[in-house]
Amino acid sequence: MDTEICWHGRGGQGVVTANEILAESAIYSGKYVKAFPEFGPERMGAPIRAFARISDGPVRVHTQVYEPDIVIVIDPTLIGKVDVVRGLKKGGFVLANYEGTPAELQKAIGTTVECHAVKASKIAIEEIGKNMVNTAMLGALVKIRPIISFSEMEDHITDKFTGKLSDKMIVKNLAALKRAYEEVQRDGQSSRLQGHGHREQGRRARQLREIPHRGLEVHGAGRRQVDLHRLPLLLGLLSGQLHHSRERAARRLQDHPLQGVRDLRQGLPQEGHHHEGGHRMTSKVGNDIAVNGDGAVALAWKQINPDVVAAYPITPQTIIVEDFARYVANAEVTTEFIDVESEHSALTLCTTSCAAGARTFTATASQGLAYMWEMLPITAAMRTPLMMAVANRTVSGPININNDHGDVMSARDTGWLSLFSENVQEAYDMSIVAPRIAEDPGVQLPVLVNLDGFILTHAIERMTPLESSAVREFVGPFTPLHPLLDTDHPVTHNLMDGPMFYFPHKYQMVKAMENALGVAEDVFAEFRGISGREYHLVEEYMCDDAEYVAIVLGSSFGTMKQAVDNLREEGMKVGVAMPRVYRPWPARGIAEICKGKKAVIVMDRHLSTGAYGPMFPEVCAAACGAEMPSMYDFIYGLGGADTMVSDFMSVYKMVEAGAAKTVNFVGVNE
Amino acid sequence: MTGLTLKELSTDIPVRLASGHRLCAGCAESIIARQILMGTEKDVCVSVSTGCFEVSTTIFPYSSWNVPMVHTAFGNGAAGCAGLETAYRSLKRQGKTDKDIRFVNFAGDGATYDIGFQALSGAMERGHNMLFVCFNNEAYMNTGIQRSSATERGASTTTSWNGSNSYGKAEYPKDMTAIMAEHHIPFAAQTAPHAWRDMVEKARKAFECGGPAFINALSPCPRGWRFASSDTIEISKLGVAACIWPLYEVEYGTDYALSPESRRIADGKVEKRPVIDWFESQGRFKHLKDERWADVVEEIQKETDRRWNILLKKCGL
Repeated sequence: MDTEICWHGRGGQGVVTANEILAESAIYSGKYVKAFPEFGPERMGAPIRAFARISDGPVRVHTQVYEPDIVIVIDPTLIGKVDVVRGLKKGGFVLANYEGTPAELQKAIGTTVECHAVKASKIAIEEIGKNMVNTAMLGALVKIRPIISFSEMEDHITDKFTGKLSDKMIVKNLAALKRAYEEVQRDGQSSRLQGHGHREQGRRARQLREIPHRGLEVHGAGRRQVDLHRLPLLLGLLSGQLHHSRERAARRLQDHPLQGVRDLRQGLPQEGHHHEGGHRMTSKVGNDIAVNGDGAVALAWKQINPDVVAAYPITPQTIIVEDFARYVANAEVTTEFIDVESEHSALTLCTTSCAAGARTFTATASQGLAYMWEMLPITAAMRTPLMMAVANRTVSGPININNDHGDVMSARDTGWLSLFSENVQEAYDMSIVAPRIAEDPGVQLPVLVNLDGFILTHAIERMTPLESSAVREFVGPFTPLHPLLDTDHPVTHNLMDGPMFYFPHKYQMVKAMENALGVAEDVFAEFRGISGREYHLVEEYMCDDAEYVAIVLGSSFGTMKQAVDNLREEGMKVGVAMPRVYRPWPARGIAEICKGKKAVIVMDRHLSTGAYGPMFPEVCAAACGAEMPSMYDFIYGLGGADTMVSDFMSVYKMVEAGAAKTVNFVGVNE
Repeated sequence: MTGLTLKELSTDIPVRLASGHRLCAGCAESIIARQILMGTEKDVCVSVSTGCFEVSTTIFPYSSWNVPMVHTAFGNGAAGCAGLETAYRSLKRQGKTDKDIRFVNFAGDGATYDIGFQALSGAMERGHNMLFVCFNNEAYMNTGIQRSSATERGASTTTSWNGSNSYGKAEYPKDMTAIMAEHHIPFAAQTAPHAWRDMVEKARKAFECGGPAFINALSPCPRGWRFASSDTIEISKLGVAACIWPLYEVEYGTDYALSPESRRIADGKVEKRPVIDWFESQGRFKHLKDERWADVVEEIQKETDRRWNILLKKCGL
């Protein structure tokens, strides 16, 4: 059972952070989550939303939340201005930071749905000293709907902020959490809930009392000794006492500043992107971590520890380079990291670095890839097997920073290998298998690892990383064929080819691409051995007996699996497939899927304006033959237009009804 | 390197650029390249931006290079060199190599002043231990003598013709050497191929300065400037004598020093030639002899003197 949550706040108030705390806490308590901010440019003070989808099983739907079960409003000034109850499911409720009663809240919103109110600002100012209502809202939330228990929430917040905030600040936040939990006014009640003061302390908090010193691995900060034995004393102070002697406790904190904390503050990463790879002491999910797509890619890079990284920041890739830069600053990698002055220089520097004999990675998106474009075919023709992550984002114009596949499709013909990911786990896994495929002596081509911008890059999901030693062993050392730094055997790279030589040299790349198909399959098989996760050239979902099959790339593969399930329940025989390896084009695998089907629907998240989407002709060519199905192209999601489960269901139905043209546009009036 | 005798230069330094390349007779670029590459006995890795030099030395299946060499594209020579240098630094730091290598990029004025500016400025700012050498032949020669921001005012090029309504390029050239010096890099200098000892010495300083270095070399082009291919060295001398192209060096953006040949002009020991002599020596300027453009010539003389005086001041003269 999915629980869908929508937060409302204003930029700068901590909505995104609150959502992340909830997501991470849920993950470390054993749930699967997809949590992300509203995609797009943000501004301090402007209304902003954050979304979470919480489930007991892996979350497949990657769209924003349109029909929340729970709406949380952290800024009361939004009430009456923003339609916070739009789409609220039957049986859903609103929880708001609100001074009045639930009945007054209902009136203010103009609704009759279940409403709960908590004076979060008041609590925050009194307990923490500033109007930062995150923890208060979370306390109130788990009281109304215990997605996770209060003690788990307490544990996770403690764990998350230990080493990042002062112990004093953590204690204050826990106090706010607890007070909101106790004081939230439920629908129909206006009395404060007292007497439940002595909450059962979280296991973690109890553990701290028993174990005086414990090294904690805080992601990005290395191991730090934390003087934790003071913490349980303070927590002991809190339980049962806070309600009556808050002031006394606060004074005590002032009189006895916590020691050992000052050292922790040096060089610790600032609160920022929630992409932790560190193990939580209170985690119930083994090695699984809560991380967003960019963070997962950076983690893979860190584990591989390349010789050189040179990159230029561009939304939504920035978190990859920022995370990696932090690893560099904290000597968690030995990589030479270069802040180049443009993407064109980034790819150039990386290409010659790789040709020189160093394993080299970079990342970009959209305009950055466009700015690099001149170098793309050169890197490939020079047979330099470097890896580039692409945080897929449309290419201007109009200018738009959201996801579609315009950027990577512009690189389609340049001779690069290209892999796609449906979720954060796959973005991580592809970053590990990619170098093996690219660097294979029979391939020697650069590789793109694609992940949908914002939808994956900025979304926290639950992921199982590998051990660093396993990654390093799997990827192995870099063994360049003709390194330029070998001055004993001087070589010239990238000479001028006349007509007699250009074509044969290009044909060599064709052969390399052919080899890459087999190499990819071998690498995937080997990867399954160390991870338990099985990948294929083309991933299929319910295609075997399907009458209608869709082909799609990226995160929408997940969303479409839900659409397929829904339609199957209605009796329609449908399936969906994703070319995991897009270049080389897995023609044979696609042909097998298409054979004998009534119709094949190609979902293209890019358009060659004036013709078709890029994958459509490729699928048609692969499907050419005796039993060729009817072929349809659906252009969807350009510029980040959110395409929902219901939209995808409509696509299948439109084709079944015979109402589809050769080229169709989802969600755009024709 | 013990000294700079011709004998030592020809025996102690390996031949890094082989003969049999495809440059025009009289092209200064290979002369300059050889002088630069004589500036170090250490191993050298070379990158070259797109242009005459790159095309003429690397036509598959032949290469004129006896040292590792890479070409990628036009505007990114500095980034390409930076990539070699970065890989080297990384591998060295990890103990994966113990070699001692120097890195140099050769580029024309287009790949330095214009399309190459961004990557060059970026590489200089980041402090890569590399040398960037500009063959300044004052136009995009490889593509057909089109104007660049290094082209002199009054020069006729295929995109700034002289005609009934024009005397050629209307703008003065950028002072690229000064711009590079203002990055406060350890070493920046102007050189010319006739002053071979000066060029080799400067190359040596550049290769040993431990950081980014920039050498701007006047590169007379018989084809583009229109003079006899045997006159390259004479033209080079004249450019310095007319103070069109002073020879100097700068350390860390503040310590300016005139090189001996230009110093002799500043001291009045050698005649400072008027710009009209410079114009009369090359076909690209011959229209300036026309009375119609006398004012322009006067203005160019004034501006040449103004920049010369700025330089003298910087040198403390």
